[in-house]
Amino acid sequence: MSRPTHGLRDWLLQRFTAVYLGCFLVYLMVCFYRQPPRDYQQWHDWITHPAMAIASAAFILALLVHGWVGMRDVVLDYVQTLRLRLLVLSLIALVFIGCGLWALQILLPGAG
Amino acid sequence: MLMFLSLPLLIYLLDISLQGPAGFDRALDYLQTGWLRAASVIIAWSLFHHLFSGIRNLLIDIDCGVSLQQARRSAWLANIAGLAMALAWLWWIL
Repeated sequence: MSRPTHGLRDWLLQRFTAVYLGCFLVYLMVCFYRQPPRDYQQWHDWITHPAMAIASAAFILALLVHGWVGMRDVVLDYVQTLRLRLLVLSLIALVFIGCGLWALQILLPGAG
Repeated sequence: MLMFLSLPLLIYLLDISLQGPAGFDRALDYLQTGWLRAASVIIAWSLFHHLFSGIRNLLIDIDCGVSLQQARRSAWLANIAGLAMALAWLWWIL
């Protein structure tokens, strides 16, 4: 199922996404701590600002990749039979794809 | 695992909070409910724990603190820092 190069590729992906996710999360927390959005308009303007919309869409994508590699590793470690593995992995993939499309659809139309 | 499971809930809150002023208030109301506050503490704990142990792993990847003694110490530090941030979160939302 896996080719030899996948391990290193995933390892690298996991670390690059981790750095971006970490930086973005810290940025989010600092923003929320210093100036939590008080009403809809503030919140909407902040999150639909083009730079923020792109950064958060990238965050969602990085989160999905990072989450997928992580969840897949957990399943490969703990689910031993092939059929069950495929079933669980497919369910997780479905949830991830669903969440990704949902989140991007929320974040991106507002950017235009 | 927990963060994966909390993903749909968080996106749902993001969704309604951006559906207009009424949706924003509704999202805030949800966040005020007891069970969601309790859930947020658990989510915050798992997230901060993950963040700190992730930073620890990245540092070890670039050969910072590889010796057993240092690695043990940083593991404890990550555990405690994650817990401390979760408690700070709890204190902040109460």
